[in-house]
Amino acid sequence: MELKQIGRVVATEAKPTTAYTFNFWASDDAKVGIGTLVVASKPGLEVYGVVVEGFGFTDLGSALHDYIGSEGDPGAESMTIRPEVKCYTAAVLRVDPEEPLQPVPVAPVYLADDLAVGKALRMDAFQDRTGIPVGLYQNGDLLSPVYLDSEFLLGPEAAHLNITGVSGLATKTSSIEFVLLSIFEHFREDVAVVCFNVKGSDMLFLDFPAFAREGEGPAEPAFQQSLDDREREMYARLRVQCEPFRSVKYYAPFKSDRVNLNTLRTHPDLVGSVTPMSWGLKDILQYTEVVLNRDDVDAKSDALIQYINQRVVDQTSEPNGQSITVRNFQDLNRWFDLVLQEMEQSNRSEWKTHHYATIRKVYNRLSNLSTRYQGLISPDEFASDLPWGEFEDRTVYVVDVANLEPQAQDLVFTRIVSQLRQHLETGKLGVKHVIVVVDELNKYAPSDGPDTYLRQTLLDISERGRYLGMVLFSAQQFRSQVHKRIVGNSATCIYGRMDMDELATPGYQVLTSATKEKLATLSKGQLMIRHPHFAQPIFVKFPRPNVMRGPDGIKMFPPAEDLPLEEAVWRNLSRLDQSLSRNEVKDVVAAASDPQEIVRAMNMTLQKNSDDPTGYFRRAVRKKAGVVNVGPGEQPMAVPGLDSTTTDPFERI
Amino acid sequence: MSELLRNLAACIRERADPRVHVVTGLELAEDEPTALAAATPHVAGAEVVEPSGKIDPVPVGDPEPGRFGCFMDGMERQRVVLYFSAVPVVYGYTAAVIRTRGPDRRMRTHAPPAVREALFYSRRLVDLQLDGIDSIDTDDEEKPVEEHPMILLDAARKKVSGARERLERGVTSEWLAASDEGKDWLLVDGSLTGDYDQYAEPNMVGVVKSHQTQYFPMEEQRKILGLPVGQRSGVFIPRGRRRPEVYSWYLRLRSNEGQDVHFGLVRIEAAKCERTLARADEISRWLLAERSPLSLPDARWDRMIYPIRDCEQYLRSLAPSRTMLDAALLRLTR
Repeated sequence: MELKQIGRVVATEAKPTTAYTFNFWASDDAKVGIGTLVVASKPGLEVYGVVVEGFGFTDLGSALHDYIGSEGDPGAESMTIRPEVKCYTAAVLRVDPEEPLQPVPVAPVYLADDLAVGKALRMDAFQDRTGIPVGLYQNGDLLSPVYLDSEFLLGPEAAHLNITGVSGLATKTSSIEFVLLSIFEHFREDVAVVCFNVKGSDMLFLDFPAFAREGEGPAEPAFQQSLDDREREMYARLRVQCEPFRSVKYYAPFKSDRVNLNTLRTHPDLVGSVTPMSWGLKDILQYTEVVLNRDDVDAKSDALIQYINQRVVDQTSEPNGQSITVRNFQDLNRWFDLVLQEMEQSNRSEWKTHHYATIRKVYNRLSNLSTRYQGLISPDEFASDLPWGEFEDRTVYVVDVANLEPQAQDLVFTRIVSQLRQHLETGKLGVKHVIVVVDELNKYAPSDGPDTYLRQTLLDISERGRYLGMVLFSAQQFRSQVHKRIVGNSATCIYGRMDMDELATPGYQVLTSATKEKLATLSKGQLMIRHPHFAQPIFVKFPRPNVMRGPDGIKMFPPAEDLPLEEAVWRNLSRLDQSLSRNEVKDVVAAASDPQEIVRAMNMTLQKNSDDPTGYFRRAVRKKAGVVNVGPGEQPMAVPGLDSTTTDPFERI
Repeated sequence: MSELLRNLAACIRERADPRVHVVTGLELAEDEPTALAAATPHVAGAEVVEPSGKIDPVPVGDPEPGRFGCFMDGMERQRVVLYFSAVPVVYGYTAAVIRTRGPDRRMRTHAPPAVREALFYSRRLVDLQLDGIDSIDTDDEEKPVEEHPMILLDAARKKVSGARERLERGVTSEWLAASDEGKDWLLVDGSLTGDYDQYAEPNMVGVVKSHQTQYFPMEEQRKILGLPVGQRSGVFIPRGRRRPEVYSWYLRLRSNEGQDVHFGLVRIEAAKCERTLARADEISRWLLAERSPLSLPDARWDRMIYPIRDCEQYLRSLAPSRTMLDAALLRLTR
C-alpha cells in the first residue's frame, strides 16, 4: 500500500482499542481532522476508520503550573516549548478481512487515498454499477469522489433522502439540486422529478445557469460568483456536467382571477413556460376528504359524494324530469338545484335514500369549493394538469404551491402523489422512477400537531413508495421536529450546518461531540452524509450547482404585474395566434355575458389547441343577452324593448 | 520484548534448572529515588576559589536566555528477575541521551540514546550458562561480596548505577568530541563524573539537585541554605570525591519561603578553569532562565529544569516496563 503514514495506533489501559474504535497519534504536520478517513494497516490486515474525535495535550499537569511557570505573565516565553501530541479517535468503517473481528491492533496509520476511500466506504462493491456521485471527500489536497448506491437511494433495496440544515446557507436546496443533477447523469434507468416549490422562488429557475458568462446577464455583485477552477475540477472529478437542468416543466395554479398565474415566474419571457394547474370537478371529487372539513364528511355525506362520483359525474341523469349531464361545478350546482326542486315539489324528505338535509349540506360544501380554491379548482370544464402517462425521462416537473393556502397545498400534494402512485402501480406514468422533492418538512410533516392528509401522503411515500419507484427527497431545518417515520425511512441522510440546539436533541446522541462541533460550523458546500453502505457519517464537499438561485432569478426576470383581463386574454391567445389583435379581444370581452365566461373560453381555447384559436375563442364565449355576432355588411339586430309587465327582462330572449 | 529477555527466557526454559527461581510481579526500581534512598548524608570538604575568598551570597542578576542547547540525562531500571540458589540475578536497563533544543524551542533527540541491558549477578555464585546475554559481575575484583542476598542485591544495584554513569560519560564525551567549542553548551543532570581534562574549556555544566554531601561547616552552610532566589554562593572546589576536580557553586532557583531549606537550591558544577570563574554569574543567569516551563508533576520540580525532565520522559518512553518484563518471565514460572 503506497499511502502516506501520518501516525500510529496507540492502545493504553485507559484507552484501549476495540473492534469498533481505535486511537492514534499523528505527526504535527499531518492533515488530519474530524471526518478524515484513515487506514491502520499491518501485514494481512487493513482497518479503515473515520476520525470522530480529536484531543491534544502536553505534559502540563495543571493550568496552575503554566501560570506559575510564567510568573503570571501571559506574554512570558519559556525557554522550552512543551511537546504537544495530537491524538485522534477513529471509528472503524471496515476491516479487511472481516473475520475474525478483533480489537484494532497497534499499527501504522495512513491517510486514505482514492482506493482506500472506496474500500472504507464499501463503494468498491457498487460505484461502477450503481454509484451516484454525491460529493468529494477531501483528504489533504486530494479529492476523492464519494458515491451513493442508487439501489439504496432510489430503491429497491432502500430509498429516500433527507436533508437537514439551518436556513440561509442554500445548502439544502443546492445539495438536492446537485444530487438530482448527478442522478440524471449517472442513474441508468429512466427517472423524473416532481418538485414542490413551497417557498418563494427557490426552484423556479432550474433551467437557467447560475453563473452568467462575461457579457451575459446582469453582472451585479448580488449574483452568484462564477465557478472557480477548483469547483470545475470538482465537477470533473464527479463526472457531472456543470449545467442547469435541461428539461424543466413548471406548473402553477391561477390566482383568483383565473387569468394570472399564482407564481413568481411570471416575467413575460418566462410565463409561457408555466402551465396552468387547474382541476375540475372530476379531478377533485375523489379527494373531497382533503378539501372538506372532517366534520363535514360524515358517513351520510360520504355516501352521497360517492353516489355523485359514480352515478352523476360525466353521466346524464334526469332529476326533476330534466336531463342534465354533469361535467363541472356549474353543472353540479344545477343538478343539486333540480334534485332539491324535485324533493320540494314532491314533498319528500329523501331522494334515493339521501336525506334532504344531507343533500343540502353536501350541496353547500361542494358548491363552495370552486370559490374557496379559486384558481386551483375550476368551476367550468376547463382542466389543466401534469402530463399523466407522459412523464419524460430526466425531466423536472416543478409545481409551484408557494402562494397557496395550506389546505390547497394539502390538496395539491395529495392529489399529485396519489396520481403518481396510481400511474406507477400500473406502469403508466411514462417513467419507472419518480423523485418527489419537498422542502420545509418541519411544516408539512411535523412530529406533533394535527394529522393532515399531506403528512399522511408523505408518510405513505416514505413507507411504501420505494416498491413503486416513488422516492421522497425531503428537507427541513430541524430534523428532530419531523415525523420520525419519515426521517427514519430515509436511508440516506445529509446534514448541512446545524444549530447547536438541534444537535443537543436525542436524535444526535450517536454523534461524538467533535462531530457535532464540526456540524455546527460547516461551511457552505460541506455536508455530512449517512448512507447504508457507510458505517459512519462521512463529510464531503459538493460544488455549487450551476442553477440560478431564486433571488437571482427574480432579479433577472422580475415577476410581471397582474394583467387586466383583456390584456391577459390577448397575451395568452396571441401565443397561439399571433395575428390576433387587442381590438378583437376587446370586442369579444365586451360582448361576453361576464368575465368568468371570457376566462372559461380562453382556457378552453388554450386547452383545445385548435387550428383557429381566435375563432374557437369567439365561438366558445356565451354572449350577453341581446347581442349577436354581426357579419360584415349585415345590419345589427334590433333589441326588443322591455315590457314593464314582465318580471324577468331576459325571459323573452 | 527485548532481545535479552527473549534469550533469557529461552535459556531458562531450555535448561529447566531446579535451582532457578523466577520472580515476577515486582515493581521496577528506577533512577534517582532509589539511588538517593541508598545514599547516606555525609560531610566533605571544599576549597573556596571565589576571588573574594568567601562563600557569601552573590547576586547574579536577571535571568537571561543562555546558550544551553543540549541536555543530557541518564536512567536506570532494575529488578530481580530470578534467584539462582538464593542468589539474586538483577535485570538492569541503563540508558543515556542528549536531547537538543532547536531555534523553535522544541526538544529533539541529538542522537540515538546509548542503551545497555544486562543481567547483574555474582558470577562466582551463579552457575548459569547464558549464551548471548550481556551480564556484569557484581563481585569486586579485590573483595568478593558477602553471600547475603540483600548485600548481593545492593552490590548489583550499585553496578547498575555504575553502568548508567558509564553510558552518561560516553554520550557526553561523544558530544564534546563532536561539538564546536564556543557554540552550544551542554547541561548535564547531576555531577560531572567524567574526565574531561583534554578539553581546556568544555562548554558543559552539571546541575546537582541532591544535597546528601555537605561541603562546608554549618556556619558557612547556613549562608548557602539562606541564599535568596537569584543569588549564588562563592565558587569552590568540592573535595573528597573520586572524580576529576570541578568548580562548583550553589544557586537558589526558587524562593524557599515557607518551604524546605533545600527547596529550589541546586549545585552547579563546571570545568575547573578560569572561564568558569569569570562566567559563574552568567551561567547562573542562564539557569535562572530555564525555570520556565515548570517540571511539574515531577516531585523535584523546584530544582529540575524542564529539558532534563524532557530527557527523562524520552528515556522512560523507550525503557521496558514491568508488564513487559512480566510478560517475558511469566511463562517460565509455570
